[in-house]
Amino acid sequence: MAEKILVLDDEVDMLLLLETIITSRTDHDVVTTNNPLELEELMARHAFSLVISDLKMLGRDGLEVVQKVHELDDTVPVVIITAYGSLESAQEAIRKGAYDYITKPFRKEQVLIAIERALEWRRLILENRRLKNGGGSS
Amino acid sequence: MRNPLRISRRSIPLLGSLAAGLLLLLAFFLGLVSFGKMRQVVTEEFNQQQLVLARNLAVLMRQDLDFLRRELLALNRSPLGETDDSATWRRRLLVTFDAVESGELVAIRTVAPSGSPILSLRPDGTVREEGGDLRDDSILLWARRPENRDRVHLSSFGVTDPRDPERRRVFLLLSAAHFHAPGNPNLHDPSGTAFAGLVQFVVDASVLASRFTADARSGSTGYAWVIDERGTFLAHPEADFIGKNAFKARHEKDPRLGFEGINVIMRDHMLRGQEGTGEYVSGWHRQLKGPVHKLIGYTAAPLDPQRPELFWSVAVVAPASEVQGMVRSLYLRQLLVQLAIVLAILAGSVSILRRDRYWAALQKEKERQVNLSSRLASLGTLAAGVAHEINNPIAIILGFADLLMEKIPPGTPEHEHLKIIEKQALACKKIVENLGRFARIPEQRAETSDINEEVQRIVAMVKNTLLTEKIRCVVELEEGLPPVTGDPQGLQQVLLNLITNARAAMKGGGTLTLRTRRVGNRAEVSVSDTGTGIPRKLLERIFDPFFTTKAPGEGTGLGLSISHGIVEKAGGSIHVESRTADESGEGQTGTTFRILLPLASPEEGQEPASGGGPPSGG
Repeated sequence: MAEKILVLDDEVDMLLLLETIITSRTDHDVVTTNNPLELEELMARHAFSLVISDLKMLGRDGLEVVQKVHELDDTVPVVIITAYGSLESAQEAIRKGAYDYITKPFRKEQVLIAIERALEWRRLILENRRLKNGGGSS
Repeated sequence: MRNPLRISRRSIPLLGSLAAGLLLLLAFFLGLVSFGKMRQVVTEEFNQQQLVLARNLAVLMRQDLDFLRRELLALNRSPLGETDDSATWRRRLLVTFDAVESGELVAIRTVAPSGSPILSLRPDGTVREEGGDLRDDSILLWARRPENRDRVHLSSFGVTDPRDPERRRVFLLLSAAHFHAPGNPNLHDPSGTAFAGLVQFVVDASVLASRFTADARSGSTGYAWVIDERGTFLAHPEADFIGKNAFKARHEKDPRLGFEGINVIMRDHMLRGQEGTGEYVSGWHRQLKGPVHKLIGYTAAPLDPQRPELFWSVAVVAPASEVQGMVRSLYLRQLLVQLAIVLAILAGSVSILRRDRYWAALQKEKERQVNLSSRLASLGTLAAGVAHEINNPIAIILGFADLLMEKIPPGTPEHEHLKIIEKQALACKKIVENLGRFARIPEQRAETSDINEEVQRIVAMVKNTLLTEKIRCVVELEEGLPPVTGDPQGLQQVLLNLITNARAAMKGGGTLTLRTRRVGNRAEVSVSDTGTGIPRKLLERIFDPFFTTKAPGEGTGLGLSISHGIVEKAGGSIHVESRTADESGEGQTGTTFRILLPLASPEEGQEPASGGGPPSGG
């Protein structure tokens, strides 16, 4: 199923790389921005199934993005892809609610696999909710 | 403001030593002064003792005289036979001779009331008749007086020795008035009223005096002598002196020496009947020749309280060396104590100075290490930040290279070029990973490594490369080294880094030596090369990050600082020694790195890590 994915990163070339990787290998749509402050606006405008974000960005911290996305739509997983790879920051991100954590530089397979898993997770969550609501709703 | 403080701290022990030295000099001088005083006091004490001895001798002599007086009176009172040589009379007199057994009584005389005849009985029993004398007249006059009836008259007289005109024999004459029964001149009656003349004791003064002085000792070699009121020696250890005039006798013995000292004492004090103490210089002492400083104590021995002009003078003398010996030993003891104190102070100061220097050096070393650590820490944080920054571009390069490689067929030059791009980007990634590891806080669980194994592994890896570079590789491993803390990869990395540096230093070839050994609770790995060496000035800085002597592009300057970090993280330490051509002179240049790592379990004995070698037998 073709989903819509949002990618946030300071570095424009990184955005292009990720977009190229995703679109050349999958059917998913990709929206990119190097301005993390546009997050709310973009999420209001599109129905994203997944958000990929860097950790250290000017203007907004990746962890903040995780929180914000969770607020806006708790069924949307956030995958952190960051240059600052450390066990501590990974643990913290996961604790704050990120679905997965990838360090740069990465192998493109890593990213693709992480995307699929995250989307799968979302499908399950949604189905779960549907089933729950299904018993007696209008 | 720090400077004055630092100076005074360092020079306190020095000042202390100086002060101690000055105090010691002062003590030394005071000691000399007190030595003099001590000598004076002890001398005076000694002399007082000599004086006491002299007094004792005088008392003894007086007591002896008193005894003789009593004997005379006893004899006088006992009834006697006739005044001529009757057997009874002689026997009675001989009894007296026996009573006075010392030999000082040389004769008992009877003198007729007119002064003649004088009959003299010797101890051997012989009787002689002697001529009358003017002296006896005055004594007879004295004897006639009734108040002198039970008294003893004392006088002295001297007889020149016919063989030696310089010699005088001095005698004491004790006389008692003799009475007989009136009407019967032959019956001697003590209560009689008829004056019958005198009964006399003739006493050899020298014998009497020598009796007591012969055994007198002062100190260990001191002695006593006696002179009469005219200065004639009555007693002296030097037998030759007896009978001679004291002033002349000494001078005769050794005319070269003057005897002013003793002569003055004798003339001005002793012969005036005084008592006291003094010092003088004599020409000899017993057998010893040469000027001898002597101490003297003297007193007068009065012979008759009625006749104060009759006295002898007793002297006790001893060489001053007797005293000095005593004082000297006291002083030496004092000196030794002073010396001991000085040595103790000196030793204390020296050890304080050395300890001071040691602590100062230790302090400096600690400071240096703290500085290094903090520098490294801050640099580490910086480096970590930089490293992560680089990850981004690297990821992008790798990413697009990868995408392109999918599109371009393999085998083409373009594909090869892309592979190169990827490879180099990965190299950058490796560097960044190292940097990251360098900055990381060591929270990881410490693994253990077998250093012998790791060394062998690395050597196997680099052996061929070394050969091509004409570097001989020597490996000396101590058997059975227990495992050390620190993960194997880290250890490998460090070894590799050191070997790389060694290779770079031995461009034309050389010898690389790898050694392992146990040092107490730690194991040591050393990597030595025979390369150009590192100048002393630079040795301090080689562990600094980015410090390198290589040309730009040849190296990052991070190798050693990373190695340092790895070793420190494992709880060990890394040290370096080096000698350059300037410093070594004739010797070999080169560098040795030593890594000390704590044993994983220090209680472990010498168990071999794996298998162990063949038992040493040949």
